[in-house]
Amino acid sequence: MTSPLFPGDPVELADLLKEGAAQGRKAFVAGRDSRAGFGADPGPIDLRLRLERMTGFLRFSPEDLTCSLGPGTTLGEFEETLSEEGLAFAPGPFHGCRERTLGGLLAESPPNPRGFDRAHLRSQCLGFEAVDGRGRRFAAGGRVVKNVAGYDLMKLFVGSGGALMAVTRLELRLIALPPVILCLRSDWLPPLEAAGVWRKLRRRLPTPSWLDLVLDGGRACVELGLAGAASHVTELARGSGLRTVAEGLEAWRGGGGTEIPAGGEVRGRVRPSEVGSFLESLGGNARGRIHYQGAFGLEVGYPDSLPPAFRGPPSLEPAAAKIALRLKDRLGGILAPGRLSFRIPRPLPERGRRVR
Amino acid sequence: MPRESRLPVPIRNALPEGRILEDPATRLVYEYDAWSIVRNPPLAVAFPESTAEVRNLVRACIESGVAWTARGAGTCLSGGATPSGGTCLLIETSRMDRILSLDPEDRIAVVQPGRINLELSRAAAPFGLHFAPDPSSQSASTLGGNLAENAGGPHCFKYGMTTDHVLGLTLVDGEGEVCRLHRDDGLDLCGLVVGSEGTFGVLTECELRLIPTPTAVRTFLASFSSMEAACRAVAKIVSSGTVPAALEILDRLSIEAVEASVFAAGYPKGADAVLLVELDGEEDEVEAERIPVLRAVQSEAPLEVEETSDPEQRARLWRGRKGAFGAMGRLKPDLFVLDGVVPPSKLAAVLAEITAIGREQDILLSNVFHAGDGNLHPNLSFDGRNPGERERAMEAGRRILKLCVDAGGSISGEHGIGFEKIEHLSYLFSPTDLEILGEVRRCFDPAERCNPGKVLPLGRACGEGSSARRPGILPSREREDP
Ligand SMILES: Cc1cc2nc3c(=O)[nH]c(=O)nc-3n(C[C@H](O)[C@H](O)[C@H](O)COP(=O)(O)OP(=O)(O)OC[C@H]3O[C@@H](n4cnc5c(N)ncnc54)[C@H](O)[C@@H]3O)c2cc1C
Repeated sequence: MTSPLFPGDPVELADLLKEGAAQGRKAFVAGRDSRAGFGADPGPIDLRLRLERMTGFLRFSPEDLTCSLGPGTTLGEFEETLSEEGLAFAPGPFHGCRERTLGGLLAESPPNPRGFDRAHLRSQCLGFEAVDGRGRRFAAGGRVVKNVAGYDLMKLFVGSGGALMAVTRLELRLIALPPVILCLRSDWLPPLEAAGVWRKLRRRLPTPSWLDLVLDGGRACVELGLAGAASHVTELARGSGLRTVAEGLEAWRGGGGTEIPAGGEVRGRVRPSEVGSFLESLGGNARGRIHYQGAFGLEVGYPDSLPPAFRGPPSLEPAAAKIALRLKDRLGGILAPGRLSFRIPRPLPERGRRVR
Repeated sequence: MPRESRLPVPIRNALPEGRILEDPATRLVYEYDAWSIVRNPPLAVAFPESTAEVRNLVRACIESGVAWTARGAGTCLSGGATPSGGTCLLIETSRMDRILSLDPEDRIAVVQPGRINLELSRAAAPFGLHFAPDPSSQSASTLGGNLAENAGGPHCFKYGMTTDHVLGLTLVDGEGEVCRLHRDDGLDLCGLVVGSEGTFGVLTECELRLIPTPTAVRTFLASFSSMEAACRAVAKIVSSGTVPAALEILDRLSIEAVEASVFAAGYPKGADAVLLVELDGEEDEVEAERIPVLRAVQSEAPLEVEETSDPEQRARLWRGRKGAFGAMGRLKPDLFVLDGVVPPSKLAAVLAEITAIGREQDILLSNVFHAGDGNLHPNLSFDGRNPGERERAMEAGRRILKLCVDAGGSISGEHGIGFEKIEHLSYLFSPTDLEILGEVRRCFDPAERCNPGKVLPLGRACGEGSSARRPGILPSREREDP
């Protein structure tokens, strides 16, 4: 493996990629490389670049609920600064990811409990500055929370797994930390029974902060996050039938929940109405979380038992694949030649290996 | 089909007889959208009913070397639905208005693009659901148009823009191929298509997220003797952690125009600004949130505060806001609606400068805007028949958008670039930025036949000619290269 280079600013990064492109090299850009080995295979790489020197807040506007960050800023550092100001990042919690960089997190876009609808990771990136796979420096979007000027390249970046561009400055949306936050849990139950509780709460609670069906092999539980005004949250908590396991910032950061993290390697989305048959097909061999709208990240013991739609890479139809490959060719250039996005899973665990 | 048809044969044959019109009256009707500055009668207007028919039309256009523009209801305020030129086929989606499925448990609807926004919410209402994006044009504008523009609306402060409610879509791309894109594909091509203003292809199906309709809604109207006080109240509400469904402001001239019109809502006439705040959710949630809202409003010494949860009274309070653009018709025959965005903390200062620009250009200028997210709609009322007035309105518009960018904002929050703002792109983007946007576009539409001339300048060298700037989001003087 070639040893990594650590460009300190966008100009250095652009020069390295331009030179790499001229020499026909194959490059991979990471934050701190904490996800090395995860995600779709980037292919053979002979130019490794890490952006951990491009770090910190470049602009912070609490009054506008926005900020600019170097991509190498860690999630821990970011969340710390926000909570000091009574602010928060809408998606999360990202279990065990405090050392991960924001650039890497957005490029991977892992499923996470709060990450649905407007709190999806892809809706937090308001703009960026980046270098493409030919060393061209460019920008997209802006710094304001509402902006439709130019195409929404932020959507292209989030989840692209470093295959299209290396972002050198992130513009992010923030929210005010809700005044009251509670994390509640059910007991461990047989998976189908827990799924019943999950579906019932899903129907009853129009806007939970999160609602996860947590799978742990042959058992499962429901984890609920509530956030908002005190009287309302207390009322909802009382009616939920679950018990409170964490409050405030601890709850917001995933404390008090089960030890089972979000973001496992087998990812997809199941329709909430079909979650029962999905669980049956897993046959008690999965560990992970199914979130409020059905997005999931799981470790699966017997992958062949997954319904066909969830086995192997997500299938792009030919016309969509044509467009994705063109984007890869024109923007991605020498970046991660074997990868189109993070999400195409690597070969699943061997048949028969249990997760626990 | 008239015998002397000018249409190339492949296009003529692409749809059943009677569904492509090329008579002069039809062409005149479709020559512009709600931005009336540029007018181009189309070659003809086609009315497909299905994905297959759109694909046939697009392939026929490619074969004949003809460009095409998709059109929903034509309410676009930036010229996006105006035909790209006299040899452009207009693909009109009003016959593609079916709801293909509506699944209340999973809260998903699959619809054709010609469905009118409000009609989807009406269909979902019996299940206690609705489609959240609510452009003020929602009783007329189509979901295809909403997706193509990434439309916003008063309630997007809480619920997000159209893109936050799209799960998947079907697109006939610039090469006539049918692309099905889904949010879970890994690479979010679906998200990239939303907001592309019809330049990546024609949307033929949309898979949309529905959300539970709040059981309680409370609306507040607060009037202030200064715009600064209204803006400060907004800042205090936002920083309290409360997320109102809507935060809208109208200035003095808008209030006067509304109150003199059929949209009169009982807004206090002597006020410099009125602030509409709406809270929604469950009853106890709304009850809890009204306290910080009222505290913020009261701290700015309002002239009057009205609070209601009565549906009729709420409708009255909103009537003035929703009818504001219509009411402007009383002021002058022509209206140019701008759509700049600024960081909310700069609202008051920028509004003062906007007023000064209006005065300098001697143009009647009023403001109705989405205050929570800093999305301004300065309305320039003018009479295009008076020599020089149109030009002064255009100049005021140009200066206002530049001002928004200089304040750290953008030239469009929801109305799109269309034809209207192409010349302003260089305030935001460097030549390389534009070159890359052009490359992305050509991945969907290599020959640039799909709504050409919108969003980006025509042609491959689109970056050329714009002001020489270093790359970056910030105006170059603000960027600190290491
Ligand atoms: C009074 C008034 C109030 C408004 N209020 C708001 C508001 O609050 N928020 C807001 O965001 N906008 C608002 N608008 C602007 C406008 O209503 C929106 O942009 C709306 O989304 C346009 O929808 P439409 O069906 O009229 O689309 P059109 O005007 O017909 O088309 C708009 C764009 O979409 C493209 N398009 C249309 N259909 C398709 C398709 N099937 N496939 C591909 N491309 C397609 C067109 O080519 C064009 O570029 C308002 C307009 C008016 C007149």
